[in-house]
Amino acid sequence: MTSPAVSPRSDVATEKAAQALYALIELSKAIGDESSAEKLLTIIADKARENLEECDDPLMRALADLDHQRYEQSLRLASEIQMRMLPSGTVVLPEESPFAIHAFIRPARQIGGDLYDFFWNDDSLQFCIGDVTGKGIGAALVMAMTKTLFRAYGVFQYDPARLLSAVNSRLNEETDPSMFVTAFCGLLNLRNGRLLYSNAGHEPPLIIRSGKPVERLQSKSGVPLGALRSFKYVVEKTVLEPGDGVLLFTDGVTEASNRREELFSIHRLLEVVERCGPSEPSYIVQEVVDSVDQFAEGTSQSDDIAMVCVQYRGQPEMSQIFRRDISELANVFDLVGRFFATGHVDTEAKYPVELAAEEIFTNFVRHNVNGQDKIEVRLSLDGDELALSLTDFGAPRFDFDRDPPVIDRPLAEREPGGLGVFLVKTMMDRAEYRHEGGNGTVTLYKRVR
Amino acid sequence: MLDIREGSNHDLILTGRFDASQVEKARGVFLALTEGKTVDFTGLDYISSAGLGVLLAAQKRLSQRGQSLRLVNVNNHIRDVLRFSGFDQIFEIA
Repeated sequence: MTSPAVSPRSDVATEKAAQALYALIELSKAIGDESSAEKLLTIIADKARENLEECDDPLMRALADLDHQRYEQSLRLASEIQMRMLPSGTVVLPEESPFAIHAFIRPARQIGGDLYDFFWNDDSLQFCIGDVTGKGIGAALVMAMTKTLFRAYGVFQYDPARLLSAVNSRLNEETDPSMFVTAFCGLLNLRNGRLLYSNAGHEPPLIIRSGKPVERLQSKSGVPLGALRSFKYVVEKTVLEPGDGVLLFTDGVTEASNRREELFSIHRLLEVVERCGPSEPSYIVQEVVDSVDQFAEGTSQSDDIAMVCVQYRGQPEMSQIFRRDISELANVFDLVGRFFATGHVDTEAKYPVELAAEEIFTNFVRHNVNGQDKIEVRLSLDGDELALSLTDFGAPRFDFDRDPPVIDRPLAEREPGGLGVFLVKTMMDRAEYRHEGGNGTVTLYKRVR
Repeated sequence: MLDIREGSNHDLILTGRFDASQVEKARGVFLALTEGKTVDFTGLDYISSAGLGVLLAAQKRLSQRGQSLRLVNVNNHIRDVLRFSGFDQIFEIA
């Protein structure tokens, strides 16, 4: 295929026109009015399209089409890169995980200014959401920078206020003073449900507690990130009980509009989440998305939508009450087996834990022959450490710390007594005995991961 | 549950779990022994101090006649328990 030569006249004219346009755009940027630069671009694009439609030069049209295609292609690529910066919103965790999380993002255009991030270790879950003011490529770049800063400072496990302060200071140094980011950050202690949080001018999240109406989490709003270099963000605190959750969202949710230009509003959002109650984060997020879409009746989305929903589930724990009878041992072993079947615990530890449960259980049965009450066995996990706790209700104090049996004597001098507790103390990492309110409790610990 | 049977070579074959709820059944078998035996632990998954007590009592009785129990095919967990208890000094363990 041969291509016809471009006429020099139209080449020069295009060049001149382009120079004039760039000058105009730079001028409006210098005035500090980004939105008029954007408007200007729109007008120019419309004019160019009109001219092209009148233009009978097939080559010019082909070139313009090609440019447009390239532009579209690079936007698609930018969009992909932007979405890949965010952790996948669908997070599959084992059933016994101390938390569940689900995130959602849908930019209004190919590239957006909303962001979220989250990551965790055995002790804590850190999560945040943000919304860059303005739209377009500038907002997308600031979004990318903010996301990167959150992750970079996040690894230090700062409290959320300190994290916001660190990100704020860098954004002030490195971005245009007209760009702001509203953000909300949380740090959830996975061992006790304590939630630390801090707010930089963002919509307060919803808090979902069982038996209570869904409400906005009380928070003192600081200024948006990038607005004031040395602003001191404050850290606030609440406690999530197992089952409780929080829903972080951007204003694209509450400000989604329908054909009659009504807004979805915080009230509709509260209604939907109230209907869900304390449920799976993925369910709550999907219900909100469906409700917003149903409300919008196909009206095109004008702002980015993002959500992060977290549910605290607590550490895995199982307990059961048993009759004071040796024949209950099979059921005690069954409880231990079910705890190990959750897959959170190294099965190598199963033997020592079974042995500990049996020895202490039989000890309670034998040494408290007049005991009328039941024996409770409880298993829980705190980080890497399994705790096995047996409570003898209505028991006299017994000497848990008595001298260990002598195990290096000749056979004739060996007695079986005391061997059980000795074995338990040897095979488990540590042991505690408490006697309170007439009940005796032995707790044994073992590292299991 | 604990199952105790005599193998074709007259070994005692233990299968299952030797815990405190199985002591009565096992004691009957072990205290009736009049001669030394090889006790096969191949199918034994678990033993607690209650089971060890039965073995100890049998070993003491047999030793008065110059006889003993020999434990074979012991899994690693049970081997640990025997060692922690000092039973590796009073039983031959293969």
